[in-house]
Amino acid sequence: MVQVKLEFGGGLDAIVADRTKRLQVDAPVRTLGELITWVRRNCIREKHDMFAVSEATVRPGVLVLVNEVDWELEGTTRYELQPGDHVAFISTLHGG
Amino acid sequence: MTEHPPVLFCPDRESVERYSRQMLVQGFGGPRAQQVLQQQVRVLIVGCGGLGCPAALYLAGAGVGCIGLADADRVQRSNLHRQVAFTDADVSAAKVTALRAALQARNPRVHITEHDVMVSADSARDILRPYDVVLDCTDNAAARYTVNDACVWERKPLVSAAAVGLDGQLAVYNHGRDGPCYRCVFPVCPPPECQGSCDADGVLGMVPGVLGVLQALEALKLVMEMRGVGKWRCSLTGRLLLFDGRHLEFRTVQLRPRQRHSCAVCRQVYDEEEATRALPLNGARPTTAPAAAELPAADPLYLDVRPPEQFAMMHLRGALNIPFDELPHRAPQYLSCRRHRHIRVVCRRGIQSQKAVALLRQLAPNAVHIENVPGGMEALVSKRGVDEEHGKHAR
Ligand SMILES: [Zn+2]
Repeated sequence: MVQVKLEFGGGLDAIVADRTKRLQVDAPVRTLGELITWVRRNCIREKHDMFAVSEATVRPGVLVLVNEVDWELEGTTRYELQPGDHVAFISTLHGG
Repeated sequence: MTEHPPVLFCPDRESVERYSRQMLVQGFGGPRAQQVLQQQVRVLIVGCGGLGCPAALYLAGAGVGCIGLADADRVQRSNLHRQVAFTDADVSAAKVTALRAALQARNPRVHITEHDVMVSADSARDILRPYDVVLDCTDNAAARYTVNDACVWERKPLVSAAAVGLDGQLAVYNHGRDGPCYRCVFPVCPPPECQGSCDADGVLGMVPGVLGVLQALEALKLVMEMRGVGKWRCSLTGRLLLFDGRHLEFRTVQLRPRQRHSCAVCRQVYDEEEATRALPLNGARPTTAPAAAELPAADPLYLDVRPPEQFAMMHLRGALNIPFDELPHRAPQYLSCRRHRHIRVVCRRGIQSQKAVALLRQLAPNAVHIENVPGGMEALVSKRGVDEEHGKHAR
């Protein structure tokens, strides 16, 4: 179990249970890839493909941040979660 | 007798009146920076909507000399709540034309170029080539990838903003060797059902308003950095600003660096660059002229080769200042630009300008006509006497 803070931005909050932007969860996972799979099953209430199409990775156009840093700099799905980590899923916006 | 443009004593009265509160800000760079903005800076705004309207209004207000506007749409009544440069009377007018009128009513000194077309993969590179910086104010994902890719190919920094609902995002892409492009961060275009839009999901007018103004601020700092004036530098490279209008929160997060090997467009561009560099000698990249090819051509370009301090005190209207020592590396981009077929060189007393003419003739293609202004600025001023109107400072 690891306790992490989740955040959904850029409109992703609309598909989260309770339409909430911020959640604190205890997830039975070790890596960020496992967390994505777990979040898709346990936190997303509808249109699951808007969050992630396949296991362990987000759909194109979603930026994952670990403690305010692009997950690409942290090893993406292989990143090992630490207690208290802040993981944000931000959908890119296109409107103007 | 050759007719020359009027001598302006700088800061001329209108500049002081118009820009004094901006020139006073510590770090801006004073009248010199203002002059560079007016004479040398070219900014392209792609998309004249909720982001493009405020960005253009503020850049015109700041005195950016040349602003390009690209959009193929017409004004609709449903645009007016956020596209604040348009009035009810503009409904069904071309956006670029209506926005141009709004900008020129506010600052007649700004030169506006209209690009009344959809920016497509075919046209994008040609449209943005003459500009220093591009603002992505578009409203859809496909256009964002098109504009980004053209910016990477043409080596133009891209100030990119987006807004939907109460959320906004802002980033400066493709700036410097390590700054990522949009495609480095978002390699794959999201599926259509995941591309939110203002038309489908709504947007509060203030949100693109805030983001468009911030875009103009970053663009201003960016062009001043590129032109080496003032003390400000672009501060958003490699970061993404997230704006939450509902909780009124701003924050910036760290993005990955440029993905030289995995980004589809950066990889191509940098592979090509490396291949070019490996060629013997003549492999230099053609310079991208900062002057807009489609600007109305014509009057001779006055090239003033005095030091910038002397130029700042007084110069001919519209003159370009390149100090004599900097001619070899700064002049070629102007000489190769189609807009400048006729160049008159001026200095303080007409002596150094003769040397400059000889030097420029070696650098310039045959088609460019280069001549000296005999007697320099001193002769011009003594012939006319000091123009009282311009000689007085407003404060
Ligand atoms: Zn890239």
